[in-house]
Amino acid sequence: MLLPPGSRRSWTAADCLPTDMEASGYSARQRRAINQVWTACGDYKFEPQFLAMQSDGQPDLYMNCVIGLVHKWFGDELPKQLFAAWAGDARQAVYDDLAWLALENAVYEKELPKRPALAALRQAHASAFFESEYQLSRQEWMEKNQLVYAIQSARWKTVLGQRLPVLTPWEKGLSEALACPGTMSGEEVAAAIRAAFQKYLRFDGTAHAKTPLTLHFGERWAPLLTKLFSTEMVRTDDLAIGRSAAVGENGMVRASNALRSHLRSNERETEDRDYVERCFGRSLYAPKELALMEQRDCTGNHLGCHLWFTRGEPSPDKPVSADAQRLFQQAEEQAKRNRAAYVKNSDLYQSALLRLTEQIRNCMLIHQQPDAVSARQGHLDSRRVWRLPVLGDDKVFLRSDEESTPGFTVDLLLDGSASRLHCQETIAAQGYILAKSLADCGIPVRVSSFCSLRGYTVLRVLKDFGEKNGERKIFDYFAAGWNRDGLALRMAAELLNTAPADKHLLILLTDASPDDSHKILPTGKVPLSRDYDGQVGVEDTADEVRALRRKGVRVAAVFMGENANVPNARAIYGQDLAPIRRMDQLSAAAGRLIQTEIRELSG
Amino acid sequence: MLDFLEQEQISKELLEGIQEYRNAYPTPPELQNRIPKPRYHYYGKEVWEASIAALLCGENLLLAGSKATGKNVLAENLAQVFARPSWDVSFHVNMDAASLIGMDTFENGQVTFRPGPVYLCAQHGGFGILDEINMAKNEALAVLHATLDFRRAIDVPGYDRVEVDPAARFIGTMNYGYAGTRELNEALTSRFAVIQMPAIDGDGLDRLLGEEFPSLEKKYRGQFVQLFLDLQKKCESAEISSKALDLRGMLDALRLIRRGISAGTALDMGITNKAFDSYEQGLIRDVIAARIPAKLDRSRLFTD
Repeated sequence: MLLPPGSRRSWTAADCLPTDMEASGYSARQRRAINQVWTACGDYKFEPQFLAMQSDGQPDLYMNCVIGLVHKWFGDELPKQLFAAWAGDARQAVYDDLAWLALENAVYEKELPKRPALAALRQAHASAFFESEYQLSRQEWMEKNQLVYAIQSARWKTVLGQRLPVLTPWEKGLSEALACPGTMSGEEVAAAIRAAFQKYLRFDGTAHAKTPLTLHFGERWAPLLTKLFSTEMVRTDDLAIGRSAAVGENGMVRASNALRSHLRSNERETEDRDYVERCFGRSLYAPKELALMEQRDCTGNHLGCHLWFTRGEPSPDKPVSADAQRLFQQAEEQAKRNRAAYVKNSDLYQSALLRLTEQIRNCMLIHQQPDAVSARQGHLDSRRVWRLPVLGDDKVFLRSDEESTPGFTVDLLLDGSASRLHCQETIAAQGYILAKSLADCGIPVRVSSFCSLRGYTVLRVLKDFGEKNGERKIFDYFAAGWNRDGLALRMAAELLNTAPADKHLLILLTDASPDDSHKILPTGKVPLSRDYDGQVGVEDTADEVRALRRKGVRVAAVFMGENANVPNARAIYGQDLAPIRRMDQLSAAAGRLIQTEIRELSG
Repeated sequence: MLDFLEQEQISKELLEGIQEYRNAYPTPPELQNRIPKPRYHYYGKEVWEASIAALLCGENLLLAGSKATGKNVLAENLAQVFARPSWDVSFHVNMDAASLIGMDTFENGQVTFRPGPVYLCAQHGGFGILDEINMAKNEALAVLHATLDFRRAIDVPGYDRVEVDPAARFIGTMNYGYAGTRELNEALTSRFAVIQMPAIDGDGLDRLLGEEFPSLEKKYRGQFVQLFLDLQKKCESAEISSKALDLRGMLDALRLIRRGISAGTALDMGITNKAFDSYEQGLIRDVIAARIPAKLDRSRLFTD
């Protein structure tokens, strides 16, 4: 006797995917699945509600074609309304699977004359259904629903031309009712499905959800439970490296007492400085040098703020507190997650990497002017000719060199504030792709992240210009704290002094929403202290971008954030803005900005 | 070829114009072998009429369009219709003026000028097909300015000035998106009449396959046409690169199938393997699988 069976294919509803999926994009397999859907329907703007994946995680070509064909034949609204009728119902999975079975038959018959290959795909799908029976574990069998399994078996046996399994008259009736012919219109198919569910499953047209259980916990239980279960993220001035509380993920949160925005005493400053050093690593600059920089940069709106440049290396002379130890462990865990996410989707990322490298190399090849280099033959260089008799140096000619150096550097500045918690893995992977492809093309690139904490704006260099194969360090990226964009830009300007070329391109990943807990101190013009956020933050950042541009630095931004912030992004970065909808478009967008730069540099 | 144009219902005035041109500029016998004999016909009445009219008016043509739009097919077809010898010049990044006009060489103990393809074309009144013209650097192309505009002359430093023969025309082809291409500068573009080549449509493809493979089953001919259009759409949506959007590759695959290779292997060789990245290959294979079963063979595809 069979154990309770259910749907063989695991249907992943895209609208039920974790929210970070929306932001960070699809995995390689999901991307392939969605491409199968698009191939069948031909509409590349269609965002499917469902994707068909096999139990081993591979996309199911035939059923993804069916999803695409349902969109092609019945449009977007009708299937949405149909599935919405039982959304949230306790038996939603059963209804979904059975409805797809009905839709499958209808669209198969409709499409077959136009696409004869569908017959072979359907046969292969049916064979795979029965072959996979032997590969399922006991647990997977337990998860299956017997009714769905029986109806599916009947369908795929029919497709293979084999004898039908033994069905009860009731199951047989349902199976026949769901074999919607291709002559039916979309409305007729939907009506037939509803009628079949009403007759055989007593579905009355409204979803009956399970009543959720609500429990309230007191102070003693809350800290423990928040560690165990996913919780909502609250941004604080205590550093916490963790994951967002997105659906389906184990989030974590660190409770905080209050936002610190008042002026601090000297003792407090030392404490904060130690805290920042313990959390982010030792400073790149000696205290004296850093003090000079603070004197230069922490003026105007940033009066009372502090700077911290670091590479994330721990301070050898500082005692490691338990707090710092835990934070380092969390950072390491995040780095591991970043690397694992890259490995998991390495096919997709490798493809993006190759494509970007090719585009940039091509652009360089086309637009660069040949450089004149000193050589032993060519045109005589009158400025160097003295070297031959005096130094015995016979390189006194100029030869044109096609393989010229790019003549500019790229700085990628990643927003590392807590607003990016939900897509840290994708940001790390995209940063890696960009840095690796630029390095492969010989363009010097530095990748840094910035965030603010307790009045300190921390700029963490993940990969520096000179570091060979340093791209892998980008996986050490993590998000935490606030973001004081204006001050971060001033810090980026400080770092640019060390870049190995005269021309610079600074690309920011931003949500155009500067927000810091450290207030703007009262000035002569404005006697009250103000929050560093909203319009004030935007104006300050825009001022800093203008200041950098006056110095000859090209500043561009890849924007990903709420639509409401688009005008802010435009106000800050003007035309040099590349908005993206998903984080997996970051490297491509930055790549386009770099290509524009190469074109403009070549005049 | 003129019969084909009549079939395509090209306007009578234009066909008469071609006939007059051919009578006015007969090709000498020694250059007859330079008149191309294209393997494929170009399908598209509007583009045919526009290009014939431009050439009859003495204009040079620039055919701009993405991959597989038939730019070179049309260029060759035009040379054949006008019965002119043609010179093909494939442009590349390191192209310089000397490779177009000609360069000095040593012959019989003397430095002499060895004419380049553009020079020869201008001298003999041929059709110069400047393939992928936007691959060359703009500095190299500046040498063509006087050849292409009202001056119609090539002045070779140190040698004679050559007047461009009145029968000579230049047809440039270019693709904006191709690897290695650049924007063409305004000065050069203004010397051409530009035709934006439309992507080949289903009907054109169907006719092409029908002509090239008369014994291909009609049902599957339609599927191959749809397969190409599916790949085109995927490419336009930037899900795959244009490497796999290869009409030549698809025709090659069909030839392989006719020789006895299975459809899966042949399409891998002709289309899928042109993308070297395994992820992209997966996407392309899915598109193919949704149209052409991998096990399909010669016996089911071809009637002969």
